[in-house]
Amino acid sequence: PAVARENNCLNAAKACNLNDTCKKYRSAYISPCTSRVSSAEVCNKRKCHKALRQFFDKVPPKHSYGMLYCSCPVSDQSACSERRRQTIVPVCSYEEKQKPNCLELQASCKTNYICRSRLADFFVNCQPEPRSLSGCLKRTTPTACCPTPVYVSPFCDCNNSGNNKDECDKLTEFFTENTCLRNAIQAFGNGTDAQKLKSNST
Amino acid sequence: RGGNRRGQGCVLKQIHLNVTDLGLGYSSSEEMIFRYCSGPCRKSETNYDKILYNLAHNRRLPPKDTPPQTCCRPISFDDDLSFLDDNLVYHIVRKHSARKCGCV
Repeated sequence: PAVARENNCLNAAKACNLNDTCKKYRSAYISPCTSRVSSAEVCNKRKCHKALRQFFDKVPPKHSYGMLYCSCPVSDQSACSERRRQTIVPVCSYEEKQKPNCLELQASCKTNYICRSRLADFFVNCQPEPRSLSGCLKRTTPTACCPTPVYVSPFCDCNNSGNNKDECDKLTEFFTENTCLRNAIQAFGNGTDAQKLKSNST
Repeated sequence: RGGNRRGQGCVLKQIHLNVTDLGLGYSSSEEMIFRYCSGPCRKSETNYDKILYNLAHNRRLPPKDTPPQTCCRPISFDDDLSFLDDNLVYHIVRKHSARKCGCV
């Protein structure tokens, strides 16, 4: 008989629903993120974001990050990685009708207290350093480096950047081509950071 | 509160299930804990139950009105359950699992 291929993202979801805290806060964000509010809007984005933040604040990283950063085989383009992509309910929390310019998005983030401080943390904790073994300038953990899923890559592009094209490209590369961030996520998927995470979650 | 009363065997139990085991028509590989209420509720809880019992016994009620005894039932429910089905659609199930039991 063929051995069923391990689906780490499915296993993480199973583990979440067997844990009372994770199950509770998972439903608490799935509900606003999947409820249509009008014919024009698929959901209440503000409520969805708030519940998502709460999920990552209240649920032990072992569970929350287990779902967000579960590792899938490179060949897998469906069951596992699509499940991982669906973790944050992207149709509500992530996608917009139009992609804004990344510099404009950064500017609007800086007008919000929470967004500003989290973005600053991300730039500090996830600063890449090619010469270090971890790829990071600071000794960091996946939870410190990637405190929320938005950082994997924000919903924006560098069209209409004008004179600031270079600055915009540098900003997006910090998300998309960041060895520190990539290694931190990979380390989480491999479970090599499990010890550090355990002590963080208790 | 009936579940906690002395002599009552009505208690909360749990079983580890696949979402498909619920028989609600969902096909998902996810799993969950189902909690349910089980046990006897022989002792009448209230005067209401005693009166009904006495009336039924003395044939003062029409036979088809013979009321049911108190039942071991959920008096509050667990948090909502959410899961992704095999077509990658989210579902939420409410009032699916017991949190507290009582003879009601």
